Amino acid sequence: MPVGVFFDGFSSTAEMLEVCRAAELAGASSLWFAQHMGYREAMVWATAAASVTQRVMLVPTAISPYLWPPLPVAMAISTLGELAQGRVILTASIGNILNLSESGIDPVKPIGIMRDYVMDLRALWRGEPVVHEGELHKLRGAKMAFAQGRQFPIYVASTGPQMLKLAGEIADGVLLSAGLTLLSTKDCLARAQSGLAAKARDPTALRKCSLINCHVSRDAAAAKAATLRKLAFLFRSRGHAENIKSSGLDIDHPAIIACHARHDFDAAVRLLPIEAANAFAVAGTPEECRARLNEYIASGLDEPVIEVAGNNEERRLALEVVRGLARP
Amino acid sequence: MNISVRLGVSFDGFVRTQEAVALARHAVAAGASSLWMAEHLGYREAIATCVAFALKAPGPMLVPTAVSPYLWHPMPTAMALATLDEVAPGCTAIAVGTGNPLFLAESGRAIEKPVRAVREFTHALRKLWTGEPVHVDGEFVRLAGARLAFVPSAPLPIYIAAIGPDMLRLAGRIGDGVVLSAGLSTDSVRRSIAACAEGAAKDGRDIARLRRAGYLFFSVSHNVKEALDAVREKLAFVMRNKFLGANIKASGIPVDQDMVIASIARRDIAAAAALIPDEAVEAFAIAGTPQHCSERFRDFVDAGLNEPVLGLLGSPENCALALDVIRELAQP
Repeated sequence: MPVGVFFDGFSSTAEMLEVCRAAELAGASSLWFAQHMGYREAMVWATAAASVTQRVMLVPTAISPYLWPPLPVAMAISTLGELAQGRVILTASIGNILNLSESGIDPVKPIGIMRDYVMDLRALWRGEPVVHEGELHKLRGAKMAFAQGRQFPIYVASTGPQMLKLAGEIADGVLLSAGLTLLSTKDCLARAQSGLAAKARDPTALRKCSLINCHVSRDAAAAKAATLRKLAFLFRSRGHAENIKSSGLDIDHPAIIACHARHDFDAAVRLLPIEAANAFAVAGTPEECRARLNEYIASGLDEPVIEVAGNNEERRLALEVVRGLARP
Repeated sequence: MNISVRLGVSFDGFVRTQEAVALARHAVAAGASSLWMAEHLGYREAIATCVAFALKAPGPMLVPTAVSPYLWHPMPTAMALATLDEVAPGCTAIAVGTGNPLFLAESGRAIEKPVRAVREFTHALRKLWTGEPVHVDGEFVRLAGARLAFVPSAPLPIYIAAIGPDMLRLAGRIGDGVVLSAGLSTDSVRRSIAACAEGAAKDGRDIARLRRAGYLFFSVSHNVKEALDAVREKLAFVMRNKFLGANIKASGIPVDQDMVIASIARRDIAAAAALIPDEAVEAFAIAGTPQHCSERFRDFVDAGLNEPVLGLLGSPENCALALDVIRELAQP
């Protein structure tokens, strides 16, 4: 089973590189670098990871068209592709609304803009001068001067129904956000599938991947407590409202968003019950985590993408889980 | 060489990244104290290439150049540079500049109020690197609480890439350094640094503290014609920038810049190169025998550069010859 490992940019670069090496040795198929605003930058990390890996795919994720214009992104991905001998996938998404607004961005017309973005990137990689008056970006003859003709897979990351359908229609893969319940995961995959069917695409044309927060520890309670911190961060997004509702847990989502807006992260964590760790993520002993991950895989994923988090011992245990999934 | 002069080497993204990395390793071994990677639109991306330099040719200062406020948002830029600094602690800088008008237009961007755009962008980067929430309501930059969750190990130097007098004065006022375009004559370098000094004086800054970098095409060969020919295409490429018009005019050398721009716009670099006469190469670059190149290098240092940044041109053998010259020049 292909299994990926993702990095949220919270740890140091040195730790990330160490985990990259270990994850590849454990059999991971891909390394995903989240572009959380204010944290380590995904393209830089993916490029650094290229120097310590030989086989895994490298996936900057998710790059927002509102903050990264198409030509510099096409250049960066092609440069990374040159360094990594083509082992590159790009994941695009609208991005977190709160963080975008802090950067002065109002993400209007997201579906059309994502459609334009994917089209522009593919046209640039073809190496032709691109002329396209998009909603957000205008290309008036922009052209790649190297790696012409080399396409890279583009995945679209989302949990929104329309964007998931768009992913099914035009993308090479769909990436579901971390922090989804099993029910939400199934719903999201069905929506992406509907886009695929609407365009009569080959059912294998869309790879279905999901980020899954995962904390493996001999101390299950500690793993769950650590996972709540990750979930509190993810739930700053309004897009998680339906997902949170699907859990049946009593969670005040608007209050969590408000905590983030005033940068009071600890208060956001306190708003999550301990049960959330198992409802939205995988946390506990190695046995518990393997069982829970298998439930996510059974929901229809082609590639689960998990975290290797915690202290040295916990990271070692997480890598064992990766090894078990990759080479059952 | 004067011990206060730091010698750098520049890369333009025209060759495969692996080739650039190999040359960077040789340059560092020869004594280069900085590696500058150009952000030419459509070519290899500057920050990604600097990451490769950091890991494969460690030690020197790394400078993505010039990052344009018309295309880049300050938040991702601040994140990327802070991350690069974590890959290469204490070795990261950035050059901020408007970018090339022709290529920006192809990406749908027009250069309007460039001094203000560069000033706002520079200001935002510095604020973001403090790790505090940043609120800016500028004409070009709007931030409403954006915040970096990690910060660089030390303040990252910001060079201002400048050609025109207003931007040069701005560099003197707010930059940690200025970086001058390739393709300037020594007289233009003198005039440019005088404009920086004027800006610095206006804000009570000491021009001696301003890093004064400048790109210089550097083509060394025992065959002078071969050395001159190796520069022609690169010089034509930079002369697509209309802001170099004053430099060309002041030299009195007949270069039809409009024709050069038109040729580059249709990506006919050979046609553009044919418009560059030998005397232009001699005036706007360093090309010739090792002895001649050493002397010309000193001319540019005497004109005011204390961080000359050499773009090595020509065959691998001639680049090796250039590295020998660098080795000699970099010795204290």
